[in-house]
Amino acid sequence: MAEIQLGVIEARYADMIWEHEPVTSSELVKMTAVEFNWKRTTAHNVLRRLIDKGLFRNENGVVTAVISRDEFYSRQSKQYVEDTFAGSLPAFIAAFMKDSKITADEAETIRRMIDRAEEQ
Amino acid sequence: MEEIFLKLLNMSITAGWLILAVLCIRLIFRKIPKWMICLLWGAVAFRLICPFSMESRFSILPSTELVKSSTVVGGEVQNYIPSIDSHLTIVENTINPMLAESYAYNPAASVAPWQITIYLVSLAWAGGMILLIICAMGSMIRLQMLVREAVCVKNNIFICDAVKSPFILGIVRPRIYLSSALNEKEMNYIITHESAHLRRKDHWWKPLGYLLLCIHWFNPLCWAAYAMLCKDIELACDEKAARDMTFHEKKEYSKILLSCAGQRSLVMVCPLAFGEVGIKERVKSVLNYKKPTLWIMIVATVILVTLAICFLTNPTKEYQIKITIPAGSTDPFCYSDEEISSKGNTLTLYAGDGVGDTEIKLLPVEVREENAYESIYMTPGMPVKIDVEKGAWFKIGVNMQNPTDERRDVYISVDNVVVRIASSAGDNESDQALEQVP
Repeated sequence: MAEIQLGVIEARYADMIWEHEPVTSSELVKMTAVEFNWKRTTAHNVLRRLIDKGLFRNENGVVTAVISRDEFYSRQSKQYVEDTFAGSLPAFIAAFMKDSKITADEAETIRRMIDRAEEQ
Repeated sequence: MEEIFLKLLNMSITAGWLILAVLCIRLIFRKIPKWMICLLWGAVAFRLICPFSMESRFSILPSTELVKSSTVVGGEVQNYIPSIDSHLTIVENTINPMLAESYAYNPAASVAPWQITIYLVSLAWAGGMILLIICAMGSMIRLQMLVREAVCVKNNIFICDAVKSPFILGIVRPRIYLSSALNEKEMNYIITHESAHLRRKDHWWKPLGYLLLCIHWFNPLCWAAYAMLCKDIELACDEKAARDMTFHEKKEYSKILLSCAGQRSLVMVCPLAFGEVGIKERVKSVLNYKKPTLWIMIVATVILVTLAICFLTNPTKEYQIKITIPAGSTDPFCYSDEEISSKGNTLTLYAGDGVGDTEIKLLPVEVREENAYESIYMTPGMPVKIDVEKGAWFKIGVNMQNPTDERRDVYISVDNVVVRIASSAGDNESDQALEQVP
C-alpha cells in the first residue's frame, strides 16, 4: 500500500479523531473550532481528504477509523512532507523567499560559501 | 478617458526618466543601503501617481508633456494633430511634420483620425489594466482559500500544511503564514525576516506598486522598476534582519535561506521568477553586511536629494514670443502682439529664431510703478536679464527693420512668465490660442 503522507496540521486533526472515535462530524466541527479556529466547511474539507486517503470512514455522520493510529504510524518512514502550492506566489505578496530553486551544485557552492565565511 | 490616457502616457514617460536614473544608481553605487533605494522607488511612485509638481530650473526632465494632441504649423496651433514636444531639432524637422501629414484632416470633418487612434488606444489600455487587476484579485482569492486550513500559533503568525514558502497576507490586519513543517529555529529566523517586512510596511508598498504597474502596464520601464523594487525590498529586509545579528546568527540565517530553497534539476539557467533575488545574492548580502559608514550615508543622501530635485520637479515652461515686423517697416522698434508678465522679479530673455545681434526693449502695458525700461543689447546665445515689476505686463520690442515686401516673424524666448494676447489687437492673429513651443 502506498505510503500516506500527512501534513503537520492534518496529522493533528487525525490524532484528534483517533482519540475521540467514534465521533459525529458535527462534534468534530465543534472541536476543530475550539482547537484550530476552523470554519465548518474547512473541517469538512480536511475530513474528506483524510477519508480519501483511507484513514477514516464516515457512515451517516459518524466517523470511525479504518486503520488504527499505531498501525498508521508504524507504516510511516518519512517525516512530514510539505505540500506545495499549486502555482507560485503572486508578485505583490511580501514573502520570505518567492519560489527560489537551485540545483544541487549551486546548493553545494553556497553551503561552502557559508562555511568558509569569516568575520571581518 | 482619452484625456486621462494621454496625461497618463506623459506621466509614464516622465517617470521613465527617473526609473532609468534609479536603475543606473543601483548599478553604480552598490553600497547604498537598500532601504534608501526603496525611497527612490517611492519617488518613482510619486511621479507615476501625481500629475503635478513644482517647477524648478534644476529639473533635468526634457518636458512633462512629451506627447501632445496639438501641433504648431507655421506658427498656428492645430488641434487634434499629434506632436512630440522635445528640444531636439531632429524631432521638430522630421517626426512632427510626418505626424502632421499622416494625421491631417479636413476641418469640416466631424472627427479627426487622431481622435480615433487615441480612442482605440485608450480602450486597449483600459482593457489591459482591468485584465491585470482581475488576475491579481484572482490570485488573492486563491491564496485566501488555500490558507483556510491554517492554524494560529501566536498573535498574527499562522502555520499551514499547504504553505511551502512563507509569506504575508492581508493589508489591514496582516498575517504571517509559515510552513507547518518548519522546526523552531527556522521559524524564528523566518519570523524575524517577515517581521522586518511588516515594520517596513512592505505589505502595503508591494500591492501599491503592483497597482501602479497595472495602470502603467504599457511602459516596459515600469515592469523593470517593479521587479527591481521587489528585489530591493527583499534585500532591505535581509539587511534589516542582519543588522542586529551576530556573525554566527548570520551564518545560521544563511543556512536557513539555503534550506528553504526548492530543488531544481536542470543546470540550464532558469530565469529567476519576476522580482526574485537569487539565494546566492541574498546569502552574500547577509554574510557581508556591515553597517554603512558615515561617509557612505553622506554620499547616499546627497545622491538622493540631487535626484529628487532634478527629477521630481518639472522644467520651467519656456515661451517663444513672436514679433512680426511688417513689410517695409522702418520703425525703430517693433513690438510683440503677445504680452508677458513675470512670475518673479526678473525677466530672462533669449534670442530666438530670426534674431541676431540687436537691441530689445520692454514696453510696459500694465504697470503699477512708474519705472523706465531702457533698451538692452542682446546677442544670440547670451541671455539678457532685466529687473521688472512682478506681475506687470509688457510687450517685447526688437530693433529690426524690414526693407523687404514680405512680413517677417522673429522670436524672443522667455521663461517663468504668464503670456496673454493683447486685447487691443484688431487682426486675426489675436485669435490664436497660446501655445508652448520648444
